[in-house]
Formats: sequence, structure tokens, C-alpha cells
Amino acid sequence: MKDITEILKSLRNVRLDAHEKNAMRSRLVQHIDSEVSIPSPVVSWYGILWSHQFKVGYASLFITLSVGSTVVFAAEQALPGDILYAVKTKVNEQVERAFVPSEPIQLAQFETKLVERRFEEAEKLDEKKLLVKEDTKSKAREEIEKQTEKAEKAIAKAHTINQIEVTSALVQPVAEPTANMMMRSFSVSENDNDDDVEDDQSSKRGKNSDSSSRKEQSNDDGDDNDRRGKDNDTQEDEDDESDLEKVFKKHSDIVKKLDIKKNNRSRDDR
Amino acid sequence: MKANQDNKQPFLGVYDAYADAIFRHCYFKVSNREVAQDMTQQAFMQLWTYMKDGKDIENPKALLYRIAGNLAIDWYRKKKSESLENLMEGGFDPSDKRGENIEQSAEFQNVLKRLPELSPEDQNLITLRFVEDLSPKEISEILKERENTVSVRIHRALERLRELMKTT
Repeated sequence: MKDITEILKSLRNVRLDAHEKNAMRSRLVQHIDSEVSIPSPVVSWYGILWSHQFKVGYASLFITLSVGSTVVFAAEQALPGDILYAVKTKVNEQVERAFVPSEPIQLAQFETKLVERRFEEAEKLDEKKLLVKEDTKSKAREEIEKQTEKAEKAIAKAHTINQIEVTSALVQPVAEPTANMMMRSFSVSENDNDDDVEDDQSSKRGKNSDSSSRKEQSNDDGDDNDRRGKDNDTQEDEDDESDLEKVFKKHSDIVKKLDIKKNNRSRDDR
Repeated sequence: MKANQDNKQPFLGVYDAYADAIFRHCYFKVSNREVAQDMTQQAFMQLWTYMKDGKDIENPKALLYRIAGNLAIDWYRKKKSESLENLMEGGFDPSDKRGENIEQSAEFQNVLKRLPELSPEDQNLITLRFVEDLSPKEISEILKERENTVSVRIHRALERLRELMKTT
């Protein structure tokens, strides 16, 4: 018996016969030539959507969303001085703001709500005995003042617009009670006889807009409507405390502790 | 697609040189002429895909063996038992005995029968080394393993085949 390696060598006789080999060769040539005539492979959307780049994209999107939402939720609890605090005020609250209906009155309510929130944060800091640190204290104060300014602006805007609305409401008396209600909820004090400087300041803006709109009223609608407009003012006078002031009163201890003067800026402006 | 035409001639050169060897390689694995032919054609088509993309192919022969090996693995997975049955029952295509005398033919048949009894790895090593006459270095390139390891394994595989042949 031959050595096994010799037998194995004889297996080399296993091969394609000439016909088979040529046939396969021409099939391959045909395959190559057919590829030449095809301009480009068919682009499948399925293929693109599952391509490597897109998979990487999906992964990063998933990570961004999950990390992002974690950050956003964590930021809800942040206090002035925390790293995530900026996320809370600049992202979370901006998003909330975007969902506030476009009525100026509702925006004013929202901004006032945020003033309240700033006070609550300061209270939390106080509970944690963090307000003794001067930089935390000044940050908290800064946040409250910044938000108060925003709220004041929103209130002033709502007030001005309300006046115009009241004017038009006078033409259609049915709508009047609603307009009054709206005005009352965001009225700024009209009491000048008070020795309270703060009230005096806040009323300035309201008064200015009042007087201008009142002028419009008398011009447009005549004496009768003018008298009714004055009735509105009288009603407003009775409601001498705005929501913003209520917030300040409620958190008077923090106001004192942080030495916040509500109308600092308007005084400077003057 | 000028590149396609540029690559066409070298590709056909590779085909002319290695078609038989690749066919054999497949045939020993699948024991069926037609399947082996299909597999060979598929292997060359895959090689073409590499070549037309302008990929640098250092050793087309080694690549072809690797492609064929992978195709065979896929095929094994699909119909392992069936192939063994075919081999045991049907034996081999008489056309493979071209030009052999009867004695050689009997030995030839015996080896062919025993080869599939080896593990696919052993069978691979035996055919590459002794049928195709590739050097251990070339085999190490195909299998992506160290040359020394390959030499040792070839030796052991041959021992196992000898043992099998004795039990006839």
C-alpha cells in the first residue's frame, strides 16, 4: 500500500473538466460585464436607515435623550449656586414658558409664579444654612430680583393690554365683567396716598398707561363711556394689592434676610 | 466603470490559475460536484467584489481558500447530516476516476471516504498540505495562524488519518 501522502496527492486529479471550467468562466465574465452596465446600486432606505453611521446616530440620540432627560429632571431640584441651576432656569423654565398661553395676563401669572419659586429656593437655602455664605446669598438675591423684574414687565404689559381690552369691552358691555376680573387679578396699586414708597413706584407705570388709555376712551367713546371707565378704576383702587406684592409679603422674612428692595431698578431708571 | 475593466483581466488570470484547486477544496468538503461548482463560482464572485472595489489583495489564493472555507462552513451548518449520507450511500462521482488504475482507484476511494470522518479542521489541513501541496507558511496565511502551530497540527491530522485508514 502506498504511503498515505502519495494517495492524497492523487486526489489532485479531482478537478473541473474543461467544459465546466469554461462555462463557469463565461458566467463570471457575464457577471462582471453586467455590473459594468449597472450605473449604481439601488439605494434602499431600509439599508440607509440601518447603515453603520445611522446606528451610531441612533445610539448617540438615545444617550443624549437619556442623559438629557436625567439632567433636566435632576435640575428641577437645583438651587442657586448649583451647577444644574442654569439648566433649571434657562432650559426647564424656558420650556414651561413656551407652553404658557400667549395671553399677557397668563404670562404675567407665570412670571409671578416663578418669583414665588425663587423665594422658595431661597428658603430652602436658608433651611440648609447656606445663606450665610455671601456668594450664595448674592446669587439668591440676584435670581429673585431678576425674576421680579421679568414679572413686573409682564404685569405692566398685561395691564396696558387690559386697559385697551377694557376700552373695547366698553363698546360691547357684555364682555366687561370678564375684563374687570382679569384686570383685578393683575392690577397694580393705584393708591397714591400711601406712604409706602414701593406701592408708589409700581403704580407709576400702571398710572401712565391708565391715563393714556383713559384719554383714548374719552376721545373715542364720549362722556358716558368715560364715566364707566372711571368706575373700573374705582373698582381697581379697592384691590390695592397685586399678586406680586402678595408673594413679597408672604416671603417677607427672606426679603429682609436678603435685603431685597423690590423697586430698586425702577428707582434707578428714574 | 473603467476600473472594472482594468481589474477584469487580472481577475480572470486568478480564475484560470486557481479554479481547479478551489473546486477541489470545495468538493472535499461537500462531496457533491454540483454543490462544489456552485461554491467555487460564489467564491470567485466574492473575490471579484473585493477586486473591483480596488481593495489591495496581497494573496488572492489565500483569500480564495478563506472565502471557500467560509462558504463551506455555511453549507455544513445547513446540511451537515445530508452530506454525510450522500457520501456514505452514493459514494463518489465516477468521473473523478479519470485516468486512474483500479488499485489507485480503490485507495483513492478509501481516502475520500475517510476524509469526511476527520474533523473539518483536520480535513482542511490535510487537503491544503498534501493535495494542494501548499507549504505550512501558505496555510498559515490562509488560516491566519502561526506557521509552527500549523505544522504541528498538520502532523497530528495526518496521524489521525493514518489511524482511520488502518481500520478499513
